[in-house]
Amino acid sequence: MPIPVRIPTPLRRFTGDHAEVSVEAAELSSLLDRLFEQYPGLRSQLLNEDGTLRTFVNLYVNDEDIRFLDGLKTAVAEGDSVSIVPAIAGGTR
Amino acid sequence: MPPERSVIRFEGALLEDIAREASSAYPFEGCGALLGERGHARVMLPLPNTEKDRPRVRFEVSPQDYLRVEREAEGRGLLLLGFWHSHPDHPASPSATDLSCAWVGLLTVIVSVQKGRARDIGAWEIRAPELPFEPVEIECPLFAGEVVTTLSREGEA
Repeated sequence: MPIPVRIPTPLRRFTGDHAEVSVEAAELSSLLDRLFEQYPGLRSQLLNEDGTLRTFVNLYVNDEDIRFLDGLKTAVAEGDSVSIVPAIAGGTR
Repeated sequence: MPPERSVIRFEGALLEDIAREASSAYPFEGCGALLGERGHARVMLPLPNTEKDRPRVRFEVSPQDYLRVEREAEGRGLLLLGFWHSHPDHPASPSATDLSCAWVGLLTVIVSVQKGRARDIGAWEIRAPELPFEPVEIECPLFAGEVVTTLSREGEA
């Protein structure tokens, strides 16, 4: 079953302005592979060159940060949703 | 030829709302989201600064708050334009940290708060990940107060 993936505002320029796309997968890593096949510009926004998740990006499966699940090996199934959440931070120093 | 400068228009008393929130957060950094249409900010949503270690010099928006803000924007038929945060006792110009955290497509709006009072505001954008900040001109035709001056400073990015 397709898993809905929420695309945040600053990354919608890579998805033709779609706020949500659907991808068939049983694991987060394969979900991302399929997502990048459809929207190649997303890869460098989400992953480092070694395939690890970039510091400035959070991935959530439902309401859980994947860093507290099984990372990119987290299983996904019908009824789950994935959210890409950009880290918003900054400051004087 | 230099690229054309972007302009962000602020609806009504929005800048005063931001100034008030930024002042009330002092001596810590305050932050919030800006919703509107392209080039026109209509709504400001104050957000908690979830930076735990150094909230006087850093701010952070939680992922939960980020998702809530996007859903609220969609519910109102608006776009998420960007985020503002304050620089307590520092100028309203972006730091190296601000630049490293900036996203293409989201405005970085900075309020200088001096001794608890908002004094200045600036808006900035990056047009590609490796490029420096470009100043964005702030337009607020209804703003007549003295708390905030809207300045677009050349050469301070």
